[in-house]
Amino acid sequence: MRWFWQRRRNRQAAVETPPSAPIPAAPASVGTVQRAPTTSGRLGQSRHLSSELLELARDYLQAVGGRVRVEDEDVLSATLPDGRNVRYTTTLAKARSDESMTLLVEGSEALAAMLDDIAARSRLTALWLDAATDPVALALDRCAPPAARCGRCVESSSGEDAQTALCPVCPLRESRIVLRWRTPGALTARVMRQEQAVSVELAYLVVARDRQGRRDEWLRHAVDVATGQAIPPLSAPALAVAQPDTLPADYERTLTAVRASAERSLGEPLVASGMFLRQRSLDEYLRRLEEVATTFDRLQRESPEMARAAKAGRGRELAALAEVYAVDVEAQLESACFITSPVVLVALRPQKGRGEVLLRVDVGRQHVLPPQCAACGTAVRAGQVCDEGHVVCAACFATCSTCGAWQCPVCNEASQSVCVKCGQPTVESHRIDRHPEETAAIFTARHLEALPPEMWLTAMEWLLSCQRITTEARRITGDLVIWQGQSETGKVMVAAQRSPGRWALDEIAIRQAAAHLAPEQPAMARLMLSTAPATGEAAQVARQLGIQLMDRHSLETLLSGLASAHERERERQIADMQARADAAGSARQAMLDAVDAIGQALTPVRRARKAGTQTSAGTSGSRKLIEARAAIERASLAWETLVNGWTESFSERPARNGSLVISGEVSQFAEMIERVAHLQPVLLEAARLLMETPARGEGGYTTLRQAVLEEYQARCDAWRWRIRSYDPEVWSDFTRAWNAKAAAKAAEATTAAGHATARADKAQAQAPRAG
Amino acid sequence: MEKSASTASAIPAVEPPIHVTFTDAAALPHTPVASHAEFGHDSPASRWYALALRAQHLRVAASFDRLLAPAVLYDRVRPHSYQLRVVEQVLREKAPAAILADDVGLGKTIEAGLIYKELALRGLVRTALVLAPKALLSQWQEELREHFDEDFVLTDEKRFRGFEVEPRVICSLPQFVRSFVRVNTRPWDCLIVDEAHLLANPSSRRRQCTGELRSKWRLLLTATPVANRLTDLYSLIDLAVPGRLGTQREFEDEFVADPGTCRIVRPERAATLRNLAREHMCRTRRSDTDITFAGRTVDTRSIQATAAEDALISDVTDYLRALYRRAPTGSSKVNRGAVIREIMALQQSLSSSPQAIQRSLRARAEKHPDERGEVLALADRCASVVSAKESVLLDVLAELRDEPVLIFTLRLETAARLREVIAARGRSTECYIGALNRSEREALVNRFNNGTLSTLIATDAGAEGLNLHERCHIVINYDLHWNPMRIEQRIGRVHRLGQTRDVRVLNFVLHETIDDYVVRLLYQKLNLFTMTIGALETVLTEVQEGEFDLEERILELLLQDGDRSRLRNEVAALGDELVSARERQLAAESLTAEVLR
Repeated sequence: MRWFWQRRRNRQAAVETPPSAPIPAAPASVGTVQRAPTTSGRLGQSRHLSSELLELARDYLQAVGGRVRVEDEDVLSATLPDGRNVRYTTTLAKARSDESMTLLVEGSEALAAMLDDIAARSRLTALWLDAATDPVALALDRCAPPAARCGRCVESSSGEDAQTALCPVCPLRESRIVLRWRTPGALTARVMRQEQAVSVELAYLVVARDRQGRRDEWLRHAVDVATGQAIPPLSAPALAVAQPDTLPADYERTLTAVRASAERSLGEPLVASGMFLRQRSLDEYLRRLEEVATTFDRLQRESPEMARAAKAGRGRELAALAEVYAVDVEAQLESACFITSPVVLVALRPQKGRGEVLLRVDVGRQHVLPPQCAACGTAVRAGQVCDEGHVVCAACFATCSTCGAWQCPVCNEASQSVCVKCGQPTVESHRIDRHPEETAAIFTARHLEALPPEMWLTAMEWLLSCQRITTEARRITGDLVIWQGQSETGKVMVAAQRSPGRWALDEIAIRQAAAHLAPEQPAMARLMLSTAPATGEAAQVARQLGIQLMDRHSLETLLSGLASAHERERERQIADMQARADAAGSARQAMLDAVDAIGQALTPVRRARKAGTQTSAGTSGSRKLIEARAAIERASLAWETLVNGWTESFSERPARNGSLVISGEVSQFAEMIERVAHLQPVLLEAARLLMETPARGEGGYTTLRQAVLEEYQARCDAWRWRIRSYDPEVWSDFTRAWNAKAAAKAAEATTAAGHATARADKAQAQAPRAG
Repeated sequence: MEKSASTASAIPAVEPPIHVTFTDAAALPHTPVASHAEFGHDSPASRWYALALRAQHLRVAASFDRLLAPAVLYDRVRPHSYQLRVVEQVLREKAPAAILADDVGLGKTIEAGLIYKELALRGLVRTALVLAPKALLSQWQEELREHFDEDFVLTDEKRFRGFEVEPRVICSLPQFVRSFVRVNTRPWDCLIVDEAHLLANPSSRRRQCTGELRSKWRLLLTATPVANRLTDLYSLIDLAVPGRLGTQREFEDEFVADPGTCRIVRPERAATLRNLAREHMCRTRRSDTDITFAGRTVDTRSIQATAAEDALISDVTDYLRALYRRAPTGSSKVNRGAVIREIMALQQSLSSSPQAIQRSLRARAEKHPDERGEVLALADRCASVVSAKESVLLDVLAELRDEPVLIFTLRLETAARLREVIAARGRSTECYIGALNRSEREALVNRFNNGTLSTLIATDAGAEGLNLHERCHIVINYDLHWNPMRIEQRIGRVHRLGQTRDVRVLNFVLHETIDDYVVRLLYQKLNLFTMTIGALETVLTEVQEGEFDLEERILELLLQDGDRSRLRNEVAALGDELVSARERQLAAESLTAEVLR
């Protein structure tokens, strides 16, 4: 039966030719309006305009009553109703060479004025729609039973999965309403009543500003006034045949209510946008925060007299920084359109069963509104129908744990604890908290899912950039977005799918995506992103097809990692510095022990043995002493290098946060320990040789020996104090870790060693020599 | 900068705020606006609504991937590719603060203007404050208006309503410091500081105020970010991105090899410093661009005035001195400024021609009846005086034969007189003045450029933005501005990109007059006429840290004393001052080049 709806009332405006300017198809849910095709039917006449801007200008000029001529594919002229002539072009050279032409480009005054005028004239409009379809046929078409051998969509009680398509052939995926009657079978439908329904469509310009600039997006939100349900915005074909109308008498009150509803619905996407934008700059912000805070802290340490000013400056700069990185998301209500549409109440029931469900079929919009849950009042996209015609959502029905039968909470309200089928008092409630409170302060997959369309694309590209994939080209195919890009290892193809309502990602979706991911180039890396959780089969198919799959769970992990990246990096740095400090501490102790041992070995013992006779013994003693000095000098050179390495492992200046900078690696300190173990015996042996030489002799021998001993005792002291100059155990506080007194003593000891060396050299020159 | 992780510093765990708001673009009207009756034959509501939906994506602010300003300003400015690169870099990588440190004369103002315009077109910037040296304030205002269609208000203009309410302001640095409390009563979206090296001293009040100013975007313009010391660079980067380089002591420890003079970078840290600077600075060297300018030759004719002309000049100057002495002083600063401006206008007329001073004196007589007798007597004497410059000009034009010549004069009367005498010699001549409408101007320019007009006499009021370099390469300054930038503007009409021949500049001055001294002892000493484009501004800002007004100084010298030799010496001393400023500037350029090479 073809349904013809009679026009509500005879309107003068209705006889006007409807505008034929092409209107792009609107998406089925809240979203943006796509670009118009580059030609328009009636207004285009024989000339083709090369630019969408000129097409819009042409239609605008005609709408204001101008006589429009298309002079060239890039030139448009018009005579306005007031007699003025205007000429527009999109070609820069033409605008420059011809004064009468105005350049029409984005951002230009001419375009801005045009757009402002269009916006002003469409701020508050009223339309009405004619019936455009058979309501009975539409109702039967839009309702479906659950997929064969499935029904999870009507049964699932999980908050996340409620009313979601969990199987590949779920009718929900075709935007149908899934109803499972207690008595299954073919459905019949009949018209119960006809009425007028008013809906309101609001258009918001969402402007998101952050440190990286500004991102705009349009959101349209339509609400059925009678039920308060969100409905799809008016489609392009419906708008093309819409007629002008007058506003309802109580439109202001209605508008207030609808705006409140819209703000509730749009709140989540807007907050998600803010969360995303903040997350995008968070790492940089935290780095800057650290820079500013530590700089002012250091300034306070450097100049205590300026502490107060530095403290004030710190607060001021931190506040300024937070402001620079603040995110503003503003939804400007740009227009409101009241749409009156004929609605038919259609009763559906199974041919062989009872239970009749009333559906509101909007024949103007060609849309069937989902029924409301008889228990909780929410719109039911997937639910069960009892014999009394109560539609119950998955969250409200109860199941008998003995026989598995489900129960209508409305029909059995008085005895819900007893199964109507088996009589057992073992009924398990499915009621759960449908919307658990989101408390996360970080950007999560849930936020990602809630993002408005354009912001979602931006977020996906950001996620790819976080994985060091640079995107080069993007195309949108159905609900898939395909990017061609470059990763560190080569070219990569990426597909992202945004499943509505957190549906599961099934193997069909994977195969569909795979078809777009350059299947002819198997060597190319392929990646698929989706906020939906992947089924086991989907994961398996992805593996088979060589697609790296990042589903909801992987994205959760990735986002959580990104959110804590800065903190983890900080922790990693601290752990790294602690490891270096530990290693440095061990090396320090080993060196100090060795130096103490050497120092002890060089301490003169009480036994004094006089060198031999003046000529032979003296000469021999001197020779031995000089040999011992040469040996200890060779060994101490290596020690000098070791101690130099030690001091070079630290910075002489504190880090900005006031800590000691340990530039030496763990392996370097380990190597130092090894070198100590190797050099200590050598030096001890050299010291032993020195100490075994006679304590006294003649001809300058005693002086030489004394000078050599003093030289190496002073060197030991210098090493000891140089090693003690840095205490890595307290590395977090430079003032404690850097021992300035020790450094000064080291300098003194080095000077003393130098003097002793000079004395020893002089004495050695005068000492008797053999041969 | 050395960094290490530590738990020692307590960094506040403050997250940047997220503001989510719902607003109305405009109050929704109480009646449906788009009804059939209102919009004619074919404009029902659905049509407007459909148009609005189609137009939605055009109302979406574009990302910085694509610049909007060059197309929007197509008839106002044609940026060079390197300027566009700078704009892109700042917007995409360095936001929200950057130092624009191009070489002198490469157009930092254009870059800053484009950045501002891009931000303004996207609604990211609504309020802006430009801080510039006093000598450059008007130039900034003109450039922003002419090239960027942005109306900024100067603080000394009558229409200035105060820092608290004015959205776009141009202000001198001392004024900014004096009014800081009022300036900082609200946050500014964008701060532009020209000649930002004047803020290098961290302990100066101007630097502190700029640092404390609440502004989201900061653009610092200077050709010499390292003017005297390495710490100048620290100071500028710290102003743009506070905390980025740590404390000044930390910076000195890290990068400075000579803590005393602070001019040498530690060699091992030089590359790091350059990289750090590059993070926040855009610097285009002249050699990085493909800009080549034709040469310039200058020929100044010092012409002996006729006896009558000399006497007239002497008497009018005496009259001006008397006026100057009578000018209010002390608290009546505003009134004194007005008197000085009047004297300056008269002096310019005197320098221009007897016809010009006659007209100016008559106008003054009408305005000041008390001086009527004295002034009209002087004016009457003008009628019989013929300027010696006229005959020299005619001789020069005769030498040049058919060569197109552009003559500049300060006064309409002079232009009219010259047109008369030149046309009498059979040379096609027209005047290009501010009173012409757009099509008349275009017609004149076309005639001059296509060769049907050989002499164009222009006043400054009409000469802004002209491109006359296609056929013409000779400029005659029949009279002179004391503001050297105005002279540069004149020459710039033919000496611009695309000029293929060397530009010849002829200056006409009367011998032993103030103009003669200014040209010989000041401009020629400074090599003003052959100076790199843009260098002049930096020289002027170098003198007395930007608080220098050359015109006022010259006028003061002229009016203080009637003794010519003393006047000559004082102008020469002023010239020396400018030369040493130029030397300082060159030294700063050299140091900057060395540090940031």
